[in-house]
Amino acid sequence: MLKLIWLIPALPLLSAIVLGIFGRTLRLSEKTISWIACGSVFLSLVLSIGAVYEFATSYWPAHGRPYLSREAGGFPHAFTWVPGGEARLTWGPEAGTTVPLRIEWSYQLDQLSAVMILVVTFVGFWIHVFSIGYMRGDGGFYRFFAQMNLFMFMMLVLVMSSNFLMMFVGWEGVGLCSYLLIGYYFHWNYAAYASKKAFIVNRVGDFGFLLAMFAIFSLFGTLQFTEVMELAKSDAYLPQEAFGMWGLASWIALGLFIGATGKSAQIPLYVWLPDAMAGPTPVSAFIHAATMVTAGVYMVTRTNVIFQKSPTMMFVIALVGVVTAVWAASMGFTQTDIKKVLAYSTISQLGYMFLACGVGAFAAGIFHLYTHAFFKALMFLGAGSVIIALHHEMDMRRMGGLARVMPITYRTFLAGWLAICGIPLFSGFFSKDEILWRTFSTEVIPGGRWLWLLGFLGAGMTAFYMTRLVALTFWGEPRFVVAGGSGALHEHGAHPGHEVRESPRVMTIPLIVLAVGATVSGFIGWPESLGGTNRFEKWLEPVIWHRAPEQGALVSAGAHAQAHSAMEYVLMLASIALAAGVMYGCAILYLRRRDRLEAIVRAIRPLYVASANKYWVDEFYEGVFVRGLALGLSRLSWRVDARGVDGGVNGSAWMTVFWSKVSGWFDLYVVDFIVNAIGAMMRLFSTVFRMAQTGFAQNYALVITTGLFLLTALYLILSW
Amino acid sequence: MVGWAVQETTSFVSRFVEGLTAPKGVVDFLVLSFMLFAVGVLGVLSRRNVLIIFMSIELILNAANLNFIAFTRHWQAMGRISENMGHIFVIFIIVVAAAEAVIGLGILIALYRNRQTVAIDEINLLKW
Repeated sequence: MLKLIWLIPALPLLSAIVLGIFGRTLRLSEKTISWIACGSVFLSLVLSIGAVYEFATSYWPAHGRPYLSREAGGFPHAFTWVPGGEARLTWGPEAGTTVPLRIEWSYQLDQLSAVMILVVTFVGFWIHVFSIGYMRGDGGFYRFFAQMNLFMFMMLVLVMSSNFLMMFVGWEGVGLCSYLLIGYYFHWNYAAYASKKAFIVNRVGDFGFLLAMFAIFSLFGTLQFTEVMELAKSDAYLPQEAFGMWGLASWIALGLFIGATGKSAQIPLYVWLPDAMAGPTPVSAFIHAATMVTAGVYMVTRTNVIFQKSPTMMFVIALVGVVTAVWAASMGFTQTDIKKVLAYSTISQLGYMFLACGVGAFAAGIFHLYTHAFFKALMFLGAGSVIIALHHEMDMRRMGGLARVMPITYRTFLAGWLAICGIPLFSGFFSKDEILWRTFSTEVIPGGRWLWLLGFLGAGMTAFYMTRLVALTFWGEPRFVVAGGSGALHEHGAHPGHEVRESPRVMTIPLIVLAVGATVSGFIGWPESLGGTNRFEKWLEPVIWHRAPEQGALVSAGAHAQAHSAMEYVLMLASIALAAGVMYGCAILYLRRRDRLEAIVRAIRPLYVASANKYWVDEFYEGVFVRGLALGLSRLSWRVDARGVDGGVNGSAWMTVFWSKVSGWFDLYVVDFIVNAIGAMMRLFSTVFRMAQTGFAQNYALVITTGLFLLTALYLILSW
Repeated sequence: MVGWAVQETTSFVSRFVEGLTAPKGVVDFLVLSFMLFAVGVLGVLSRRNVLIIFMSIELILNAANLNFIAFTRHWQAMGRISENMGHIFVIFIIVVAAAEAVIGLGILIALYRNRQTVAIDEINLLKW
């Protein structure tokens, strides 16, 4: 199976090509399209499971290194993708030497990419299945699945890439597919705007990624992950920095992290993700919750050696992560669009992942990525199920009471809700608690306790907004008005919910599968403090670098045998208590004591308004960057163009005309004068000399005769 | 007066006759040749009719011929040469003159057909 890993991305690509090119011309039925799209992803899933199984059971024990498709023979296991010329290294111990810039296309399978491809193909497959029901009857059915499959290909390239440039291809590719799918309803102005926004904001981050990639190549002379990480471990290439220092490692890490903030929607580049909800809901579940937005976390973990060299950047990551977590959660409080709440929740959870990376617990970050993929995809799909049932109603103020009407959606959603709130035994509990404990006990960066406090606060906020979402959507009295036609609206107005029914099985089965995932997927990382073995972290152990303790004060967070102090249990209980308390309180407020809720809202009205308006960050960006910077720059450059460049062009034109006039004058009055003067002189002299030319032959004869006589006379005189 | 005139005339005539009958040296021929040449040149320079000019040119040529003959005879008498070298040139010149006359007369006839004149002072277009 390992030799077939090139098929894992290739199959969705093939399907995307087939659907994209022939989907419309052949007028494939929805059934055919569904089979092709889901079948290819299913085959990828099977291949992924087989490859990971073989890797874990035979390859890794035998070789102890990542599987690179370059090492196997046969069909395209690897080829030189970019056969470049010589490149000169500018930094590091080999500065000045030239190396060939040769970049290969090969797939790398190690513990980290194994987790990623399993998550991507598994969650992706069930979301594909869900989409069959969600997109039923849509005119762009083939287009949707072609783009979803293309996204699948790009995402798999991203996580299976063996070098930075390939990863960048996937990175940009998923950005492209994200753009295409956000703008799926392109006839809707807002969707077109949102897709452009997502794409452009991501470009900002990509710029940082590119710069970091250039720096990495000019330092190490290679872009292969395995080689770069091996070289980066030595202090000769990348000196270990102390906290507060800012050196080469920090610069590279900063570039990479800027890339990650763009793709993973962290402060300051998170603004695109809420607007990305303009796409179809399965897209939001797949791309903007489970897979693409986690690419930043994956990338930071993939390059964790470089990050660990710079504690300063680690701190920056942790701070950005935890602030994002709280910030986004606070905006989730007041959103009325069900998908917007989930979007802010995603940003918030991604913040937790970055917090984990920042405090050195990369495995915990990936663990949260993995559990989050299940429960967030589940909740997005649940929201999609609700939205479809309510005929594309997304406003939670017009929902409520759906628990009775949509029991399967409701129950599966509850699993996601409990998971994200951190209720024990559900997956989110294990991952979030791991992150919080690691934050509290971190020795990689200072201030872990304060970061923990923020993270703890964020966990409470998460419980609040998610409970609010569940309460507004599924509990309480129905507030929706849905009817088959406009006439029926009045007729059935008194019986809301009449037309609303549970989604078909093609949508509920993925929900059930993901709900099971959201419930049990955390068991794999059962912490040691609770009598488990935390197999997830052990599995990722080879990917995470652990600095030998004697080399510096930095102690690797993952490897050391942490004493399970009583503190860990206290913190665990505290978060459980907080989550449970907030959930209970929130449910009470929204269901029984609306008066108290409104009183609270009145009391903190400015904060409420600020949160509901997303703290005017969009307006701020619009004003400062779009209108101010971009528009100002464009105005400025327009002015430079109009005045400077055009002035230069016109000036040179004027000069040309002027000089041509001068030289024309010179030609006319100087050159021509000389020529004419010579001619006139000839004419003048010729008037004299041509008189000899009489035309009378006898004149000439006379001259000849005279000459004869004169010559004869001269002869006689001379010979006298 | 009359006696002087008769005497002079008689003397002239007798010297003339004497000159006519005296053996001729090369100088005599040269004098005759010069006369012919002078008559030819004057004819070329002074006559308007192209035909007469042609004739004058023939005179000039024959003056040259006479020179050749005279010198040949002279040099043979002096014993310096034995062959009739000059005669050969004379024959050539006569032939060339004949040919030249043919062409010249041909041109003349063509000219006359165009201009209805053979007066050389009216044929003066070839100038600046």
